[in-house]
Amino acid sequence: MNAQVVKQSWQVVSHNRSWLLWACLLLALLVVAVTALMPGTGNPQQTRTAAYVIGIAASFAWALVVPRLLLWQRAMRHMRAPRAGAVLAGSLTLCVALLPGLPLLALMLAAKPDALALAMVCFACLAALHWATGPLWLAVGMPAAQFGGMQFLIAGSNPTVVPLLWTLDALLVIYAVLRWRELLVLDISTLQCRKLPVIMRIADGGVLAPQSILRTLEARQMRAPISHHAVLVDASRNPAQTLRTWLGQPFVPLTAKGQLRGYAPYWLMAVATFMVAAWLHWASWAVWIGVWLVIPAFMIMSFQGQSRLYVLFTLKRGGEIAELSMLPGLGTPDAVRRNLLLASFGPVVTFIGLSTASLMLPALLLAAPLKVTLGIPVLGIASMCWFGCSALHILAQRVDDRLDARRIVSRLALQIPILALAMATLMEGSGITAGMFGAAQAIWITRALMLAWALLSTFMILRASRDWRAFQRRPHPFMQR
Amino acid sequence: MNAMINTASRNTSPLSARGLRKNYGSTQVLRDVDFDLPEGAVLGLVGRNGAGKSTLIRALMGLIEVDAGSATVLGEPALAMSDRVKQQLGYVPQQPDALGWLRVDEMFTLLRGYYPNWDQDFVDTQLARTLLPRNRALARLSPGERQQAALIRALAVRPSLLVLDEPAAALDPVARRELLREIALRAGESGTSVLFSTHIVSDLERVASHVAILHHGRMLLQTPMDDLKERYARLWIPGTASPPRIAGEIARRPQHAFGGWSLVVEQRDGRWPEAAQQPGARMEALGLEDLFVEIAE
Repeated sequence: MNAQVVKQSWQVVSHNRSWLLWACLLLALLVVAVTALMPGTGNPQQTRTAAYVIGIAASFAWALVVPRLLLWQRAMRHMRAPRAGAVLAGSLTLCVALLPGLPLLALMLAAKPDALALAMVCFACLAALHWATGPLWLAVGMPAAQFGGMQFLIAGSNPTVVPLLWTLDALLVIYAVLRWRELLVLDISTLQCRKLPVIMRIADGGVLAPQSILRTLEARQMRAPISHHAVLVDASRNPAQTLRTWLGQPFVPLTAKGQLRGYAPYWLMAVATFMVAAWLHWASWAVWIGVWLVIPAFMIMSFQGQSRLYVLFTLKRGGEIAELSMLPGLGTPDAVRRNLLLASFGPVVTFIGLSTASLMLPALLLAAPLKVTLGIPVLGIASMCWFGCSALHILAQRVDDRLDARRIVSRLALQIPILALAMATLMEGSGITAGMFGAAQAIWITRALMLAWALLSTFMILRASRDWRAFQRRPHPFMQR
Repeated sequence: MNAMINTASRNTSPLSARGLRKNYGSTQVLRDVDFDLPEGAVLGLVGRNGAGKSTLIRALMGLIEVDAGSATVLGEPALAMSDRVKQQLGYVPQQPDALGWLRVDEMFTLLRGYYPNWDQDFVDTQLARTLLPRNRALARLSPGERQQAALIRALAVRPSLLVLDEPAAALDPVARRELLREIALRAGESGTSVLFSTHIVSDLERVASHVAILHHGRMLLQTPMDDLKERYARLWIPGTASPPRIAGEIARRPQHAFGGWSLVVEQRDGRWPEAAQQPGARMEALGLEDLFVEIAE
């Protein structure tokens, strides 16, 4: 590899969300520093916990930075650019060296992690890569396997787990290579949204400018007709159902067959996990796997709902909402407001409610720890409230899609604390903070988290009340700014 | 440029607006627009890209929050249209993309329950004539087919007011001619009042009874087509210095090759401006396209 290739490799990495790579690296090194400074360094459980958190940090980079190299290689291939293979190899090597290489090296020097800890970090990176590039079933399953499965391993397990995990890592590497080759030549122009790997869905735009991502997803979504939807012949008698049909996915009323096709694979996967776990008497682990299966489902449903409303009410000026507002028979503006709330909140809240209930049942049956059992409804209710507040913000036409410094800062000021808080809460709930800092310190962390959640909830309540007043004040809910 | 000329009757207008103003950030999109659609008229709204045509139509339909002014549709405030008004209104936005996941047939099935005057025979006839595939999802139709489906929907409600935002933009010449014929037919036989925006001037000349020109958010003129040639003309004035502003002047620009200025002027009280009598000045009749180019360039 000559100097030119090294330079080009560096350029490729630095043009693909390198800020995220550096942030993840910083976080991972911080974890190593905390581990080195904590009393009892060398305790296998503490080292594994540190490795687990390094794995989480690395997995963000492997989910959102490394797969972008695939997009880059596809672009190079389409342009028939020379030396793309060598530059890609250099970029990948660079990524591996930075994350997880550098933090793992530091950890090995500081705390001498065992083979299981190393295998866990590798697994976290590979799981994240497959989340971003894998088919849908793998994208759904990987967070559950990574976060839920790793928690199980931290607690200690029989020695056969280590070779099994290394074998799994090796298989994932082989599949990653095959998948990479497949995606490199895949014609995605006619693929439906759900058949696209995650990284290709979010290829356009970024966290700060999600509009282009949403436009791409919307364009693909629109090309995919919804099968097994229920079209009402006498729709005028049911305005709420009409509004659901008009709002599109995921609000469209589906027939029973449609519901089954849409959700059954997911439920089957969750049920199967529970059955196996119950059979093996791994109650706590089973429930955590369930939690990690349900969290992406909550997020997907909530994201789908929010993004659809955002596209309809904010991004698309005129268009569908214009046609809908001209439809007679929807009732008075107050009735339309009520039905619109019902149509937009109903399906998402029902889905999250049913998911929560279906998770609570095995948690109770398997006598999972109280913290976990109580955490499930809290998670469900929090997800519903989060969706409700966000949807109301959109429906009240208070979302501003313009991008200037002030708006970006205010957006980040809300997004970063929420993300950090959610991650910290999940880590706390799964015992990671206790593993890292000890039980005494963990109590203070719990209290701090509770205070942070209370502050966030107060802010959201205040915002929602302002949105509610704005929503009620509008002459009709379809009027755009 | 002077103020808008309004020749329409305000009392019977099925669609009217007063003082509409709309800003997007620091950009003024509508500047105190007054507008009246005479009953039974086919009014073509022309303007360059970005002139504010779609914004005006959306404001007239009560779809956007304006900064000032108000609009009425069939006698009711645009922001509070009743079902009675909506049942008489056919509206097609610039990009009709609603219900893309439904098949063509399903869309018509869903909608017909809402309109008491729904004309299913018209739908069937038009679907057969245009060869639109009934079983294909709307989102999978070409833009032109999608527009045709939206136009069929708007016409199937037997509207007394038809509002079309650039209806011919995606249509092929045959479909465009069919649309114009249908508009003329509706206006002639059923007395439907029609507002349509376009920048294809030949379409306007073919079907419109009235014309309105919007430029940089300002309504420059609104008048019956028949009056156009009699009321507006180009006035050539020699000399390099900018001539003083004259009464009835709508637009002006220097004509370096000619060594003078060309002004678009309007007849006031049946008389042309006195500047037309000055030595070297000459008047020239203007067609609609020339008039549009002169004032919008």
